[in-house]
Amino acid sequence: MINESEFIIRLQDPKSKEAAFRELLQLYKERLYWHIRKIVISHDDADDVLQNTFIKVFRSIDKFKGDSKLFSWMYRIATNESITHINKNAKRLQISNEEHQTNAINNLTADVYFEGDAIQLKLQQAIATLPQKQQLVFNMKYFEDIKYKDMAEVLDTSEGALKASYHIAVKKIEAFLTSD
Amino acid sequence: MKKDKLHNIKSAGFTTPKNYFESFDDKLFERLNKKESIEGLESTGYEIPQSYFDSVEGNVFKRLNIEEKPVISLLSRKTFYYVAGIAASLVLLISIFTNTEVSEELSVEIVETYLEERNLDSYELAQLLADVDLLEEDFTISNTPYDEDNLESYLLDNANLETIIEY
Repeated sequence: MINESEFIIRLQDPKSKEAAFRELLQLYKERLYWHIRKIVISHDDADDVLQNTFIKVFRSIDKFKGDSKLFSWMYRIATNESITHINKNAKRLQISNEEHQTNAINNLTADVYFEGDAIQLKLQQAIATLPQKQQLVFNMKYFEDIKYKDMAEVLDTSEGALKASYHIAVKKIEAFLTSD
Repeated sequence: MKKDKLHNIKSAGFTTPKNYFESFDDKLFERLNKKESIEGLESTGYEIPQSYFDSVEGNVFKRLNIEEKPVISLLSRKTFYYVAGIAASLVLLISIFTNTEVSEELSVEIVETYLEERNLDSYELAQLLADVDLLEEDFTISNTPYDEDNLESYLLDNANLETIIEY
């Protein structure tokens, strides 16, 4: 594991910035991609948001004070960028965010970058029925196995509230999966 | 093992195009550099007439002098309070006067129909009465002596023969 504070210094120093940034990309691009992908659903949207996220990270790394972990900070940017992206798309199409997400899920069967079987599709449909916060908590805990402590930093919510959200989300999803 | 149990679903099923992650860095840097070069531009290319900004102030004041009529915004806070105050007192006045005129006494019929239409069952009624101490004096005791005659006529008028037979 690299020393984070040294790494941040290298990221902020104009001389070493690009090299350090390439390292940062190697370390986090896949994890952030999967995090974003589960929020925005389609690969093209995820690609857009991932690029925007890293551009924002590159631009604002100088202002990063280190009061949270680099990883939580980037996750927070990625989460906000994803939600902004959905809002923007929904507004452009003049539909609600929920409708937009339902449409995205309905398009999954035709998506070449979705290889899930019927039950995986149903899981995505189940997740889409949850409120946004619960979706985030569920994805982060279930698929990404992020600790509640880190999640609390990313989502700016207490651990207790996150645990409750996750519990409710799982209950709702299980009910959805067993229903027909 | 049931397939549709949540804990049996290990992945979301999403995939990416081939070599997506390998080519991502270059694509990103290309975009970063392009943006950087745009941001590096010092001027937008727009030009203004010479000493334009010096004349702005004078022009604005010139127009202010011509159009020097005090403009009172209808939406100012002070007027809003006045209007709201007047409106509130009007509403108050109207409601006081109309209420006194229309005031209606609660008649037995009103209470009766109210109770009938509410469909209160005896249980609910009992709940309403639970907090009230019932005293003997509260019940009016009729002074009519019951003798055979008026009992008979009462039953003839009020009782349904069939219900009595059923018992």
